[in-house]
Amino acid sequence: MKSVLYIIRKIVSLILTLLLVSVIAFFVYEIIPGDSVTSMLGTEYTEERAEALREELGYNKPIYERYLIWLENFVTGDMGESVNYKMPVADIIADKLPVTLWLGLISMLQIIIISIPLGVWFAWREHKGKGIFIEYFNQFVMSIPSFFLGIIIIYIFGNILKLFTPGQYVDYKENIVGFILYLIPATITVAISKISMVAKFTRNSMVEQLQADYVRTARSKGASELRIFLHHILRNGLTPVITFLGMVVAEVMAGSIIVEQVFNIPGLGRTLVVAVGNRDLPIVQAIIVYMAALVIIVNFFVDIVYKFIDPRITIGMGRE
Amino acid sequence: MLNIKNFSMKIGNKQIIENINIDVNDGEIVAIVGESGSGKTMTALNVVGLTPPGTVVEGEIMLDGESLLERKKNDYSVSIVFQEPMTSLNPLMKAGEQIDEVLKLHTELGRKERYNKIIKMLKNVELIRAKEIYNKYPHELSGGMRQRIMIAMAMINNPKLLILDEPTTALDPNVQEQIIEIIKKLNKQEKTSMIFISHDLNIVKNIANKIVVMNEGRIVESGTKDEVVRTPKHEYTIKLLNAMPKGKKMRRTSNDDSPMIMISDVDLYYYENRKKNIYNTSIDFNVYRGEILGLVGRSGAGKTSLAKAILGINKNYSGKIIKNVNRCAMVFQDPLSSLNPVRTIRWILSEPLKVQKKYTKEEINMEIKRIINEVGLEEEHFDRYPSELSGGQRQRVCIALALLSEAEFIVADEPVSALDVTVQAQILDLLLNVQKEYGITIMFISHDLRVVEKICDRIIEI
Repeated sequence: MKSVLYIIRKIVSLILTLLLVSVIAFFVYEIIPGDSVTSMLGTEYTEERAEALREELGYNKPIYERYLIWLENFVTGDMGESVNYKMPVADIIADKLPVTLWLGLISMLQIIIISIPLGVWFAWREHKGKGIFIEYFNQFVMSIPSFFLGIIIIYIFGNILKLFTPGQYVDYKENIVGFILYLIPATITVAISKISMVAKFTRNSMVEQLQADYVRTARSKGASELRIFLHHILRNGLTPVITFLGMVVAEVMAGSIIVEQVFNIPGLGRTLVVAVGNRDLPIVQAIIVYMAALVIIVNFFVDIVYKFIDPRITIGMGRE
Repeated sequence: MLNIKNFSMKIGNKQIIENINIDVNDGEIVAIVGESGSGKTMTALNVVGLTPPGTVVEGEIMLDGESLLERKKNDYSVSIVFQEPMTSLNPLMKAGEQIDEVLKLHTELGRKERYNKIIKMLKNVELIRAKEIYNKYPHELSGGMRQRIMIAMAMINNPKLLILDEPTTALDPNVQEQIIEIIKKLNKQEKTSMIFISHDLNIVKNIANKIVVMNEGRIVESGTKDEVVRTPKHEYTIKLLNAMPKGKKMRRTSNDDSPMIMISDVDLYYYENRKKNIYNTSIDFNVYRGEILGLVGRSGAGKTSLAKAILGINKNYSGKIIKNVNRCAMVFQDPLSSLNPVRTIRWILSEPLKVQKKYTKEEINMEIKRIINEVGLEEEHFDRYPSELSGGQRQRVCIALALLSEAEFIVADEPVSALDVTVQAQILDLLLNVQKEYGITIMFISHDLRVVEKICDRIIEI
């Protein structure tokens, strides 16, 4: 009963957050200077025509009414038309979204598979009082900017190892294997600094648990250090990491914008950069909503998972 | 049965324990008494085999003729119950499973047998709904229940020796008594020898056969319970016995009959799932100018909530609270967490004067110099951080803060509960002096009736 309530509450807050994102995305139109009617009419601009077009497009309606119309259209899949490509925005998104999703997914998989065991290993070394040179190296990796790292990776993977041809993007609709192979260097670029971050976070979280009183209790029971580590510290230490991974998803989405530029990958990030340059506001709006929604939804699931891992999470009303 | 012989212990260059000898016979309860830093817990940790890293030990600890210092594997023949029931259990593991771990590690019993054994043990420590408790997580249990789980865990594999390290210190008085009764019962039933570590001679009197008094890593006195309590020889033991508050104080009569604070028909409540839960009703009393009023009550009665309501930082009450006072201050139980850790004492003490905006820099310096002497600290403490002071010194800083804010009314919420007994006595004396000198009205909240009786003019129970 309690967990059902928890999930319902989380869903409500999910919807509210998404609405807030849509409000912000909608007002991008209002804040950015420039009148789209003027640019649509171009040289044929007269006061009367502009007025007529405004009437036709509904721009004369009050702002909240326009927001509701826009929201309704957006939800039903009508996101307007790109000013630049003269194509429905929905089609452009449908084409680009899988690229960025794949990029993010492969990056996240790398991050999860590598960083957590790495962090646990760091913590285990710390526990055994062994050297920490590798952690300094980790700190160093964390501080490399991803565009710089991208260039190095292109050089190593493309020019030396010849594992892919830089710049020769393979479309996922034609050759999915080739597409994924092309993505891998890019995903490594996104993942590396995040791997360092998550590994460090994991290590810190686990090391903190090493000091806990319940570890002393377990030790007094005669449990071996390995058993203490695996049965007591691991689960307690990893719960905060799950929340942190939720935040890393947002970082990965942001990272994809730069990396898609460097690797010439036509995903949402690259499209966003081009659209911002061209003042193609319908596309900008749609991509903002999609990227934000992705991060919010992932974090929604993180919260749900967390609730089932840590029994202490309650609905959080009233006093503790 | 247990012999600690010429045992010494060093961490780095610091001598923690110096040449102690303790013998525990079969079925006996030996109490080790001392203040924090006396080495009593360290002695226990060595016996259990939890010696901290970097320790150098000398001497011998023998259990039934076998050296405990040389054993390779902890076979759980010595088990321990720690002071902190709130944090000593793994928060992500069910209570029953944590007890089960002991049986998994040290016995060959099957699943069913282990379960039955645990349920029986839980009933033995008077957890009545044992099957339900088995599946609870620590955060779903009260402090007393958790400590029972710890005792069940320590007793489940019939240890030869059970060490209890301040097992009741973190608990309410009535729960304390229950736990003591359970420990006594188990001692009689199972004939388990026990070492009971405490700073509180009052508790020890009720349970121990022998008492060992430790101070600064050395044994200053040891003997049977009666010898130590009735005819103490060492001055430190006498000091400990005297520090125990006893006897009543003369009641002070107030010259001013108009109450400073009137509390009439107050109900305290809190919200749970939007439902209003009233947990104390019809509280009715006055606070008179210049008195020290003791506020006592069971835990959960809302002593602190009421105090916060009076100070205006808790709105969850109905009824009337009329205040005829300009400035109030509060002194908390835990002085460390109520002082900003990254600021020096000088900065912390200057702050209440700075915000009043009517003093120059020199005046502030003069004032804090005066006040720091007043509360028994030195100017050398100015440049320290809260973490570099002892618990008693920190509480002195908190009292100084209350004085600097020119409070007429101070709520002292369990101000000495976290302190050693001799320090307790000093802080209580300071509060009495301050009250006399400044004519401040104090509301003193405590669960310890002896402390309240020692300093309060009047006691209200809610």
